[in-house]
Amino acid sequence: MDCPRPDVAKILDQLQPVLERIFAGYGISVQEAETIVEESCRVLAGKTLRRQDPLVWLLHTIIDRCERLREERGFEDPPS
Amino acid sequence: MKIHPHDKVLEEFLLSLAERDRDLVFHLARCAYCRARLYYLPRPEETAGEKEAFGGYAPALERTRGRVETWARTVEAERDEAPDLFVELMGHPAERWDEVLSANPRFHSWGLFELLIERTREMTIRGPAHAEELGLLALSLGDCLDPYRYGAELIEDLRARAWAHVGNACRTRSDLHGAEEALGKAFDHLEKGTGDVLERAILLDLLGSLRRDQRRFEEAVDLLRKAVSTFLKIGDRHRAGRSLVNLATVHYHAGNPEASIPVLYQSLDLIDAEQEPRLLICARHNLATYLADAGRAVEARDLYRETRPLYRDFGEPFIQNRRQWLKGKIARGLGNASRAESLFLKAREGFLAEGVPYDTALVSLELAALYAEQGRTADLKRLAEEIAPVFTSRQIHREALAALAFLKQAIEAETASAELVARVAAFLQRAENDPGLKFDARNED
Repeated sequence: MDCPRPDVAKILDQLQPVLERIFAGYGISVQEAETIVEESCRVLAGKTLRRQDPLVWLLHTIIDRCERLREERGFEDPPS
Repeated sequence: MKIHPHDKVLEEFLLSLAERDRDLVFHLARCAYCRARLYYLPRPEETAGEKEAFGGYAPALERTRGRVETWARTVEAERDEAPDLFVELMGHPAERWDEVLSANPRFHSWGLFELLIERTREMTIRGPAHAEELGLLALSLGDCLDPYRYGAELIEDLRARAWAHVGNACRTRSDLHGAEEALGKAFDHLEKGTGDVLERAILLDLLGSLRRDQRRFEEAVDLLRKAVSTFLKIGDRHRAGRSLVNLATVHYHAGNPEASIPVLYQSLDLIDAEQEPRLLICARHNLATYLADAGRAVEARDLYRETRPLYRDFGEPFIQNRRQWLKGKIARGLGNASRAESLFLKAREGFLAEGVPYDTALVSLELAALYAEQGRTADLKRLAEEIAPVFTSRQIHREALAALAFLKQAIEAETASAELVARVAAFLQRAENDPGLKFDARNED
């Protein structure tokens, strides 16, 4: 489906303050945050698939990955 | 809160709100963007410690931004070259495509991979066999791509999509076994992919269509509801609307057209008319038809009137003939039998010209019901003669032909009541999507 490509850099700029707060909230390290954001943005830029709201998709994807990391940690290291 | 609140709790909550706040809640329920904003609002005053904690991410995000921009430029450049590569590849005989592709690294590009998958999707309706061929070619290309350059998981996502469209092409040409196998492979690849929820929802929607064609309706409903909910979560209202139209078709095929009505009303709020006007007219037309069939002729008429400008944009016989048919149903529902008759005749003429015997038979039965109600035996007999060519059609299966033959005999013997015509019509409607349905002349309802 041909559609205007989302400007990933612009979306990242818009989301930066939100992302910082989300990563801190989930206790995500700087390195993990870098990996999560890069991999998610590569998916966004790497597909011509039309996304009606790329900002919401990116935010949802990043939050989802933070959730999964937290769950994985929960299983690995249950609270004593 | 992980547990869904009970209806009573929600009800109490809504009733406790002022009207303005209630509007806000309903807006939130429909707007993924505003729901996402809830994650960072309200913004509290940051403490010095928090400033330090958040500040650590800024340089990392800045570095990421740079790498993503480089990646985006790389794939854009490959996309620009893809149409020429596609034309060059298609210039070779089909039996050499695989060989040319694997031998020439110029073709090993992300842009061409995406383009082949997109062409597969576009060709599904017009030429499903060719679509399948292109999808399999895309998969061959996927095997040649460098996973270090493009990312193994991203390649898996696109392999999943290629298999999904191959499966959909198989379904379109009634190869349900091939479709099942291809969609199974699509899910396998998706599991190894990036976890892109949009890809998953698209695949759920396509699997829902397959389950519908396999007449596994409960599973189809379940899959399509999941697809709708996922699309809405990521703000894709239009695709959610499309899946709802698909869901309405499942209800129709399951013999429950009235259940389609609220689903189609919901889809109208979501479909983006500019993006896909054909989907909008399809949803509105089906809704008006089901309303008319359910005896809600006034509602159907109002909806039809609102849709008139859209019908004018689609002049093709496929839409215009069905428009006449719908107008006939509405006229009949409003008690205007003579207008209904002329509209049904017009629709039938159109279907004969279009070469669609099943719809010709169905609209003829609507006419037959009108004649039977009015005791017009001579017109009924003439109608039975006129639909004789339908019986030679190979596009109408055995049981449906048996039902029509039974009715024809009854008309000739002057024993065809309006009730009998209605029973045969109801059978034909259900049998259209279920060729295995058996016609029982004694007890057909």
